[in-house]
Amino acid sequence: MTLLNGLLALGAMAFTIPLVIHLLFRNRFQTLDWGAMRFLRNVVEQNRRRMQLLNWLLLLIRCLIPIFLAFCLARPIVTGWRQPRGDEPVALAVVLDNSYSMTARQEERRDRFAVAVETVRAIAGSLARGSEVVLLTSDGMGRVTDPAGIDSQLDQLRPGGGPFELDTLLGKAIGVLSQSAMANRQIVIVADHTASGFTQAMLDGLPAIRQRIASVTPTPEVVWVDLLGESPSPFRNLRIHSVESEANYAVPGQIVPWMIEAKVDGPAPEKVEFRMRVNGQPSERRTEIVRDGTARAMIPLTADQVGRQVVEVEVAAVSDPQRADWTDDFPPDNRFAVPLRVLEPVEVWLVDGHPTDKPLAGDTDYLTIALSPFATSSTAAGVSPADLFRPRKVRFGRLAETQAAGEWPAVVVLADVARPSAADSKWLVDFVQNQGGTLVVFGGPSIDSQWYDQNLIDDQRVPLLPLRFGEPRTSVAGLAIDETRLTYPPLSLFGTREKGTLAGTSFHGWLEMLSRGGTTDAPADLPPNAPPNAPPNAPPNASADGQAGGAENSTAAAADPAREANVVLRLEGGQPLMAIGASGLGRVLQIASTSNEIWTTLPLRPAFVPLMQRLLLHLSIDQDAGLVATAGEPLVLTGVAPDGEWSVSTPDNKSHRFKPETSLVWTDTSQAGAYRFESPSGEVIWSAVRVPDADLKPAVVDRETRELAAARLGATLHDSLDEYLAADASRRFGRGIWKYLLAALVIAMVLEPVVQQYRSRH
Amino acid sequence: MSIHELLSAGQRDRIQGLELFARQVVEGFCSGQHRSPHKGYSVEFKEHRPYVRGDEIRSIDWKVFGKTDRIYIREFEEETNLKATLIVDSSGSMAYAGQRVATTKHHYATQLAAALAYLMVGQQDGVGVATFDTQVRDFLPARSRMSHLQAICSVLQKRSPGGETELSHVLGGLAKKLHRRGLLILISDCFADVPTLIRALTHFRRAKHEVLVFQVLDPDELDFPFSGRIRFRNLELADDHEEVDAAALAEAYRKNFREHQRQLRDGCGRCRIDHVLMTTDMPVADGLASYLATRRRLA
Repeated sequence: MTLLNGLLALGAMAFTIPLVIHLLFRNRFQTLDWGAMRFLRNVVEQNRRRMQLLNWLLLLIRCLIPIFLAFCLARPIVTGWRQPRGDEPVALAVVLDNSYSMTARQEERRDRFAVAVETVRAIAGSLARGSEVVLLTSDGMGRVTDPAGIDSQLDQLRPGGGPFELDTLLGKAIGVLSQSAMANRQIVIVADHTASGFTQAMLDGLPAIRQRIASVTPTPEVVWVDLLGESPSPFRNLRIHSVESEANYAVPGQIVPWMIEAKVDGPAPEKVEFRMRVNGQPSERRTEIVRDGTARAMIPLTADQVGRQVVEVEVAAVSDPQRADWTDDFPPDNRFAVPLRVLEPVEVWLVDGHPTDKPLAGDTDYLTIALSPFATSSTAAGVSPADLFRPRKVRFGRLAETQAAGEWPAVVVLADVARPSAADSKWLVDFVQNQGGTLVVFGGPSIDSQWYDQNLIDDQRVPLLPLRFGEPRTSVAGLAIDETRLTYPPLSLFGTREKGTLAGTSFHGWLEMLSRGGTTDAPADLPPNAPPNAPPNAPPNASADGQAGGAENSTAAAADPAREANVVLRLEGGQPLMAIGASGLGRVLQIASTSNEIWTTLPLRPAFVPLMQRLLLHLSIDQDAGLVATAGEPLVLTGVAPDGEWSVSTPDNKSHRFKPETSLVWTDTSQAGAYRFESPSGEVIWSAVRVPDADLKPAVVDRETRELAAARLGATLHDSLDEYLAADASRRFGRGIWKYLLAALVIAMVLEPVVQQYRSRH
Repeated sequence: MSIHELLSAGQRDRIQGLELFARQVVEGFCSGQHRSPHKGYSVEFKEHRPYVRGDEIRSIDWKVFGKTDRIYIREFEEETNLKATLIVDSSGSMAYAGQRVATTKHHYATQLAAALAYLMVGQQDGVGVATFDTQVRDFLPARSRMSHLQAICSVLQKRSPGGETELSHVLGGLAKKLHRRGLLILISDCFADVPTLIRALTHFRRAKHEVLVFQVLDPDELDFPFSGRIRFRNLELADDHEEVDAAALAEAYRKNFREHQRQLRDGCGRCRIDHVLMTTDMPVADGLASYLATRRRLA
């Protein structure tokens, strides 16, 4: 404890005055010879103890009064056992949560982020001159600056920095502070504690972080500012529940219907408006009535321009002039972006091993129907179905000749072709390895396995087929497909029974498929690179879309050219049924069974159409890895040359110019919505940024969990900014207790006459 | 030591004009103002009554017999002198003299006793005196001669207060010395255990004594006007003292004193004992006159 006015504390010696008076008067009394002692004695006995107690109490109060007064004037400061750092500069690392969950509104209708920014400003403003501040957010780390410089960084900061990962940010903070020259170091965590960030793994990892912090010398002090205020009651939240479309791919002129469902938590508005934007431009809008907290709309959009497009769906409450405005307490989940790729129909050449004019008698007839199911259908009202593929039957032995008359196809399918000619073989190798085409080889009873193995594997410098064909095998009872390993993205859809499965498909015949080394060892399965049941275009809480063409952005690793072969589908006995391999620039899909009903019932199943469409589309078009990203993660656009200076338009309609280096990467993705990239040559690429699923849940963990986290981290938890500032002032300058002493003085001064009166009366 | 030293001339004059009428007829050897229950040959005729067998022949009024030829007995009412004993408290507590009155209680009691003795001797009544503290210190039996008054005054004057009060013990001892019925006058502050005191006085009442209690108190002992830190030193017991905040104890003292007085008053009333409270700020003659006037009215 220190005293600001230490000399005044000497006034406390005045306590000796009543003490001396007491001692002086203690032996000063009048002596009286008295006869009626009998009337005094019992009274004295009864009152002696109480009077002594009262006398001592009175003496104590009288001594305390000058002591309280003196120390009150001396301004004592309690500092504990530590030396207060006073106005020494401090290195402060602010770990600020700028995830989308911070946009949730609190009781006073202010969002959490505004409160957080205000808090950081106040904290920075309270720092001593010469202090250093660094701002750490989910989407990056600001430069180290003085307290005044943090304002500009905060001005530029917006919610949407990605999920708040406390352990990661604390690791960065430790790194920054360990390099600081300041002796006083502090880490301040300003976050809203959403449940998605407080996983058990995160909690379990906090003690290790605490040890890391403790290992830094001087050890930074960790302070956790709990900004969470009360949520508005009731909490109103309008959100998009699901967005479903016929396909994520379309051909020019196709009308694609979009089924949109919005839900309302809490009291619902009477009407909501659905707004569609395509590539940032307003498109369709619908106003729907909310029933039972749900509103649905079906909005058709016409795909016009070829290329990558972003369809944004937004829902908003329609303000009713008769009623008070309905306020959405959590806006981020009102928008949802879906990629849409408009492309010219994919040219597919079908080479039939047994061409015939009889319907469905050829090897490619079922395939033709599967690839162009709308070729002969009528147009439904409001919907314009269009085929993504343009199948064309090419006679065996005329591949090179046919191509010479026109452009290269995207896909060539060999269906039970016994033995391609040498010219066709040479053309196929050139088509796959040099032109980047996709070759699909169906097996069948006519296949000359040795020829295929010899000419397309052994004789090639780069093998064309991923696996060798072996002996034909048959099963009278038939074998089903092993549905437990549907991890390949185009096939993952069929692992969901709600959308249709491959169950019931039976294979009575197939060709063995062996590794190219000639062993019978089963080739390796394709490692899962995407969750089989979570296509990336599914919005939160939405069911799988069930449409062909989904999950196209995460398949780059699927066609790993370094791998010899990837078996993507097996029969229940473990026999390989489908294998994918890369050869040169192209890819080859090798299927052990037939494309007609001779060996399998697959072409007769409804799932055959989406199965073949998804497979061929996935293999034949460039994948859009960067088409949709989550906020805070970088947008990486593949398939474009990062030359020259690009421009990007962000959802807030601001334009930025940047010069990509090795790849086209845009990191400032804090805003959800459509991003428009334009190359120096004028090519336009649209991408979308979504709010991370974790940030779409504004619910926070309970107080006990927050306290547990703070305890494990060794952090001091403060409930408000004022509490933090008071504690910080106490840490820096100690805690002034003159107010308490003043209160004690007043109490003593009131108590003294009370005790005096009581003593006199009793 | 003479009565003149104890009483002023004025006091003596006022006392000479007083008459003490005994409420009861007491036995005495001399005729006086006090009627004797014994009928005999006295100066005042009482009545005639018919002769009954066993009456003395000498009591027959022969003159009446000669006139009426009937035998009547002539009866006279005989007056006897009062025999009073003054019991004066000489314990230590009687030495108290307050701030308002310089006279000690003992001195006041001595004056009162002298006044009473003078009064009674003046009425041809016998008067004796006893002083006591823990025991009877002086005792003079009752006499009616004026020379005896000088002896009484001498005893009262030479006795100085000291020692504790042992009233019950003292009264028990006196009861053995006072065989004949008479008037017993206790002059004391009565700072003793009241039930014990009342029991002792009751013993005298049963022996047909009339008992008067003159309680002599200093005004300080009634209202306890003290404040501040005071060491009260016990007058009856050496090395006994209490240091108290007088103001803090005053109310409790008064309560205790009132209770003591109530017990004393009630106890005397039950035993038909006159209890006369006299404070030292009251002139002896005035107090005595007031009491006797009251007594005459009630007689």
